[in-house]
Amino acid sequence: MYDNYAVYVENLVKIYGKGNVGIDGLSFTINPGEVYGLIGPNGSGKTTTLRILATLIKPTSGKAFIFGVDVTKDPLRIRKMINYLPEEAGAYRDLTGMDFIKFMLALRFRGEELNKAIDEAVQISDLGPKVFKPIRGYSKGMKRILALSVVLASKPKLLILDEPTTGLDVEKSLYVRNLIRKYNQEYGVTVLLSSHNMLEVEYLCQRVGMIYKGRIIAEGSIEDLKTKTNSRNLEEVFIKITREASY
Amino acid sequence: MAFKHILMREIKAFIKNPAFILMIVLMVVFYGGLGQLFSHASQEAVKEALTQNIGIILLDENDLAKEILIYANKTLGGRIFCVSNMSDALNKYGIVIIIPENFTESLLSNKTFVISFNSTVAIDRFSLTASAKTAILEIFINTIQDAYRNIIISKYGLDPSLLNKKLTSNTIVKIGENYLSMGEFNTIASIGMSFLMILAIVIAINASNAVNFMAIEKVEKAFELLLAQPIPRRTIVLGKLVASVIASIIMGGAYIIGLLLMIGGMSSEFPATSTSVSEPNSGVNALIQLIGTNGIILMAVSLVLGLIYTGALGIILGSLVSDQRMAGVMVAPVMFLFMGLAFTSFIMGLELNTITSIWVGATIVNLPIYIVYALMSGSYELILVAYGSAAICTITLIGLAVWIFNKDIVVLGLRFEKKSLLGRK
Repeated sequence: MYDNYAVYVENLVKIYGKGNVGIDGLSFTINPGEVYGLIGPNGSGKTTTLRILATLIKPTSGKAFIFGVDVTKDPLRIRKMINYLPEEAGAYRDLTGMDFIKFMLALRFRGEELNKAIDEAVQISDLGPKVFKPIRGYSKGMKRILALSVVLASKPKLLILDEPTTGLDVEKSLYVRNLIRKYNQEYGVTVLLSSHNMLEVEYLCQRVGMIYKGRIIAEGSIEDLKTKTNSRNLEEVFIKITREASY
Repeated sequence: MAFKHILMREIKAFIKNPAFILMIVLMVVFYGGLGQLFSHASQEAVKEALTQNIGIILLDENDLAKEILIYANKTLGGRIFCVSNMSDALNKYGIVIIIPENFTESLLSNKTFVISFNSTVAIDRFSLTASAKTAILEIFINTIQDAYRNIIISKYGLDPSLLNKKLTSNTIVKIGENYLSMGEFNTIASIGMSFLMILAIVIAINASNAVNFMAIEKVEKAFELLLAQPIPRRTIVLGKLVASVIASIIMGGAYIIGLLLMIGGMSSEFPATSTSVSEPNSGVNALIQLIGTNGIILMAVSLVLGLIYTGALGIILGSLVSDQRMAGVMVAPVMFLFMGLAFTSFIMGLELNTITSIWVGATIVNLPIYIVYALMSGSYELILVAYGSAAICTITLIGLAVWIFNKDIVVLGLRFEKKSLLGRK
């Protein structure tokens, strides 16, 4: 049953120390090849969810499967299928961009496969000759795209992106969105992303899950959600649903 | 006005930093404790010097020699005992001085200006107390000098030029089954202390580097990206561990080369004192000859073991921190702990027994020096115990580091909340 989904999450709970609830009975599914957006206010549990699926932290209870594999039971197998871009992910300041790309991709690939992945990441990073310069001299946007380049070039079955365009200017944001779309469409990479940028979510995602206080309070295609809430865009959907939930 | 705001902001920043507060507390506790320890050890050393009995093998049958000894015995409070067997006397008194057959003859001769005693001091460890024991010889020689001057003037009315004689002692220090000259003992004691402190520094810095590197990695936001890669967490732990060991070996090597250069550049001869005749400073060579190639290899193994141990400890602490501020909180106690252990062993000495072996292995910082002492004493079983203890603790720490790396805390970091730290919100 779980094999049919790229991501299957059921009644997932994460409680931190001192009883702080990260997520509280979260359930959603993502189909293979889909781009799924997780949206919600700050502190609603988006990053917690993505971290659990990326095997960085363990859930307190509930089920989480990626392509039929339990994230708690076989994290190494999960990590072979996924790649994760954390929120504000940076890179080692003492390395050059090229060294960083080589280092990260060498953890996944060998031989010719590695060389191809490196070439691809260099191309994605769009750094030109600066790829040979130390990362400490890079702007925030350059570092972000560099980190994204190794994640995309690994062509995982599932790409988990935590606010991929945070801190990027309009041009760079558009560049990143187009890359995500390209890898989804050309290579069939399933994408789970979280974002506060509703334009971005509308542009990229086929389906959206709206998370509030650790639970999914609305889910569906963007058009469905707009229709249901009688909204003109996703921002309006977001405001209406979260306001309703807070009452 | 602006200056006041900036000043207040800066002061608030460091007052609110737990690392700053912890450092203040530790400084007071550490140096206060160290002062108490020094005071206690010094008192013990003085007590030892004031109560230490001395065995005398009197080979000179002349009355003058006997009179001098009786005089000295009175001056020293009846602490001189005549013995006939060196081995028994060493076991019983710890210090044995041989008054040579020609002692009186030399005293009364116009041609002899330096009179030497052969003496042996048995010690079980290098410490302040052991140093005090060797200093007792100095007291004894001075007492003999006073005694013969007084007796010669008051009783025999002899030529005052006879008073210009210098008394010295050719002292042998017995440690376990090894015999060292006083020069070698002093050299090894000073080199041992220098090595001990350097090793403590290197080992402590190794732990602090491991913590800081992880903190920087977390601050640079590359850590989560690394953890999401398809590699076992133990690979990350071992990679970081071996890297920190290599870095510290390079740094420790530089420190030790610096120390050797410093020793090489120092005076090549010990100044002559009443208890140590002038002899070449064999320096490091004395130590090398004494402990042999095996000793050097064992020291190196101990050092590497120590670095792996503290590297693992640093990685454990580093996995708990979320930033460099927290790294500072974690590093301070570790640095003080290792430096404190090194100081304590210097002051109190390391007694060679099974419990000390286990303790030294478990706390690692004194292991290289302890191994040398054990080797010199021929206590090979204690070396095995110390290594066993160190190996078990090191493997446990590595296992713990891997275990923590598989826990949420490596991502989330340890968080001290004001309520738990200060007892209020």
